[in-house]
Amino acid sequence: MKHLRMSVYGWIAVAIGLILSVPVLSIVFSVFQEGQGNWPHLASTVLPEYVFNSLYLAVTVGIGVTIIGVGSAWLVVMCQFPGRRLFEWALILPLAMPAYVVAYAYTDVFQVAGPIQTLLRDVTGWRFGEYWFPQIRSIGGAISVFIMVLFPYVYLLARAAFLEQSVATLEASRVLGQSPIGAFWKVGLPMARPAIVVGVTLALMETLADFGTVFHFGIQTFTTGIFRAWASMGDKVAAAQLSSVLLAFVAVLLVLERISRQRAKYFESRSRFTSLSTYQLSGSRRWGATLFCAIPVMGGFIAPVVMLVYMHLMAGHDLTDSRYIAMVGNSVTLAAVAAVLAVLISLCLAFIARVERSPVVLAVNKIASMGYAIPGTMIAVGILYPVAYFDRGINHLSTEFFGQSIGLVLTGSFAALILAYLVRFMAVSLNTVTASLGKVTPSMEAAARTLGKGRFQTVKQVHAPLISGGLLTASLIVFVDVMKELPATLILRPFNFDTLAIQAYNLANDERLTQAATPSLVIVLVGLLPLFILSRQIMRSRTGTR
Amino acid sequence: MRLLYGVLWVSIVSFGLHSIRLAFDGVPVINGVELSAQSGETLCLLGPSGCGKTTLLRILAGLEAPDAGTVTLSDVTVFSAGVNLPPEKRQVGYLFQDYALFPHLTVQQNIAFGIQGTPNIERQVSDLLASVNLSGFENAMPSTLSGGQQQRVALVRALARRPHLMLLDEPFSGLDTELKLQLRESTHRLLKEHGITAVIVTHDPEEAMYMADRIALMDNGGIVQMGTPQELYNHPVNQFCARFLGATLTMQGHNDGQWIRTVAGTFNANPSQPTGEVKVLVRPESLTVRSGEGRYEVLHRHFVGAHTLVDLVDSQAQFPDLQVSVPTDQSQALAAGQSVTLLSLQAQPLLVVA
Repeated sequence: MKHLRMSVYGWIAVAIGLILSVPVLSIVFSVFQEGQGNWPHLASTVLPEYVFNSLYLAVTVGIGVTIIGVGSAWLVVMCQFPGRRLFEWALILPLAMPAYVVAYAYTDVFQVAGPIQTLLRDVTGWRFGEYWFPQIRSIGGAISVFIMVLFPYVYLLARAAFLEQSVATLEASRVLGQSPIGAFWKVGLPMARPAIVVGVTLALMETLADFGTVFHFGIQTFTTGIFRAWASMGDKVAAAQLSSVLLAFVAVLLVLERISRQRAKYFESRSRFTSLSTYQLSGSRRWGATLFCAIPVMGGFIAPVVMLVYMHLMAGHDLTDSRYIAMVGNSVTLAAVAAVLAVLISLCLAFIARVERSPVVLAVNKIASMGYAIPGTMIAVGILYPVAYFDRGINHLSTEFFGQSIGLVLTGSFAALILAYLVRFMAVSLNTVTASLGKVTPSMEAAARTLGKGRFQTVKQVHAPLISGGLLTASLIVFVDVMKELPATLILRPFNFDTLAIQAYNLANDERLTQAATPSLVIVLVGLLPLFILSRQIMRSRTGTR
Repeated sequence: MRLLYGVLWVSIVSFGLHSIRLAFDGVPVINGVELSAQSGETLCLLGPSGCGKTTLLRILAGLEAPDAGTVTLSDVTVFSAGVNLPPEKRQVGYLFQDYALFPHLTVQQNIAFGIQGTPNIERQVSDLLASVNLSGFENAMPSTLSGGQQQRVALVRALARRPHLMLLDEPFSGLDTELKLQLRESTHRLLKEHGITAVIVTHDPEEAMYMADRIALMDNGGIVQMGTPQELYNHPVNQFCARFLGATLTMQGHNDGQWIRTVAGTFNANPSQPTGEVKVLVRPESLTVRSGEGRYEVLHRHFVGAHTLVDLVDSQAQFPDLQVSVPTDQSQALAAGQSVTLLSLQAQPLLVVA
């Protein structure tokens, strides 16, 4: 009798899954905790505002990213217009920009003392208060920043969905009497809808997860509220309880995303019989299309990068300064450790899932890859208070047995911080590793064995060369994500331990935005690395259809 | 090609599977299978999908361990209680259904994969490629090859190790008809020329009959019937076997112990057959049609080449409609609406069941 009992590997997977779900579990349990009694106060005063602001942000950002993402994807896939091939990959560039970095750049340039308004006053002779200028530090400003930075999620998924659609269905709708626009509304868009929903939910997860932007703009949302409950009130339990409300929002998005992913699979066409014929735009519509694609690329990438470079040149810090070298070192160390660990654990889970195939192990892998939906602030809080319990317990024991306290073991340690990164970024690593391991079919393993190779030789000669590229990609993506990560690092970092992201946050917090450009630029540069891989894939997915 | 393996390499191997049992999650997959083959023999495991034929192949290769039973290769026990020789030590060749070529290695490296460390690898590889008409493809990547080319590379990759036993899992399933016929022939010749014992898994009865010295027909994890292609086709032990090997016609009949009377005439009965009202199975080509007064009327003729299929309807609606296969030159005389009689060309029916 085989496969009935779970092997020791299965239990290892379960253990990993349990560790990775500590933050969510502790937040769920926090509901039953007393804490310092701040919760009723929070619930009656600020909670409604958090809920309203978060919903307002979600709805407006959702509409914005849908219009820009779907529109640009449709134009790029279906139409001919100047710059189309450039935009096809340029539209993903805003993914390199953390929202808070874009927020710092726009604030510095558009605020009252910034170059734009100064120029306006110099030219017109108006004085402050005598003219209207959009207030960048507002919920409207935050919405604009999120839309410009997050629309690529929708663009990427909508583009892939449009490309995968069977041309025959579109042609059938034309033959049945639809115009090109009619075919888009009646056939193209409905078939791509599940994929678009996935893209929008991902963008909204990022919106809810954001801390840097809303904090800088002074908008009361869950993440800033959770941070204040911890930082100002020192109430870990209240922070966790606030998080549990946010968890409900996140759960809705997560369920919506998973369901849509299933449905998107259903709509994919199996094979492509003819190549996609593109529609030649003419006259003003050509340039309209160019403009439609150019504006988000400008707003989400080119303009903020130019601003950052300008700010850096005006008053930036010297990167070769020993303090900066130390910060770069800290960022790189954290990111590298997290990346290597994430890939090793993913490899472990993916291998076990492959060998074991039990529903338990598959469920563990699903749970392990849930963290991308959970805001970093929440993960940090969810780790913070079980870790505090653990430390208290250890101290209790050591006082009992050795008559001496050993201080805080895990609180403010790298271990807690790395765990937070692993929880948040395990999904991308696990998915990439699983996909690359999938390239080694079971029959390839069997072939190597029947051709005289033992287990070890098979792994060395077949698996290793086939999955090394995937492992590298996975570690690169985790590396970059950790470099950009702000809230979890802010809450969990060891005392006086600064990274580039923390430095940018601190400088912006001190209203030294121009100086914040220096660490921000480094983060953006590193963030461009995985986009090279992504843009290569994008260009490749089109070959053969041309 | 004969020189390729040298005179010393002559397959003298047979294999044996005894009382093999295997269950997955409590569901039996293989139920006490007994199977053996003489050296140089080609054995086909034939059966519907899920009948356990591939599992049996994997057990022979050592890729799957049975729950109970004994596996011997050339009289050496490779599996039994406490013994389990790993696949890399069994010297069997395995051709996988999806060919399982390593996508990161060239054709040359794929073929050399199993013979690393032996002298003159380049020479061996180029000889092997020549034997399947693929000279010059040494540096090609598998993804650039057609399905038929991949199949041949996978075949010689397995043969390169001069296996005692060659296992082929649905070796021609992904190929188009013409290529399939070509590769059947060349694979058969390659196996026979080198006297390699081979086990071929297939769900296609025609392929099994073409390739096999003996066929083991499987169903539900057990062997239903074992014998030469002729034995299985002409003397099936039950309805499953009769229908699986080829088309059948079923007629009502009455068996009085001596004669079996049907619409197609009278057959000889034998004592092992059920008596009374019975169902009589025959192959379509064993019936013929004579024009003249009869029960049946010709409805339509379907010309399909050497044979023409003729739809018959029962003018008295007592018997189910039939489609018989008639040599095309004889079918010309059968016009639509014509009244005909059915006649068996054989004195024995294919199978009689209650």
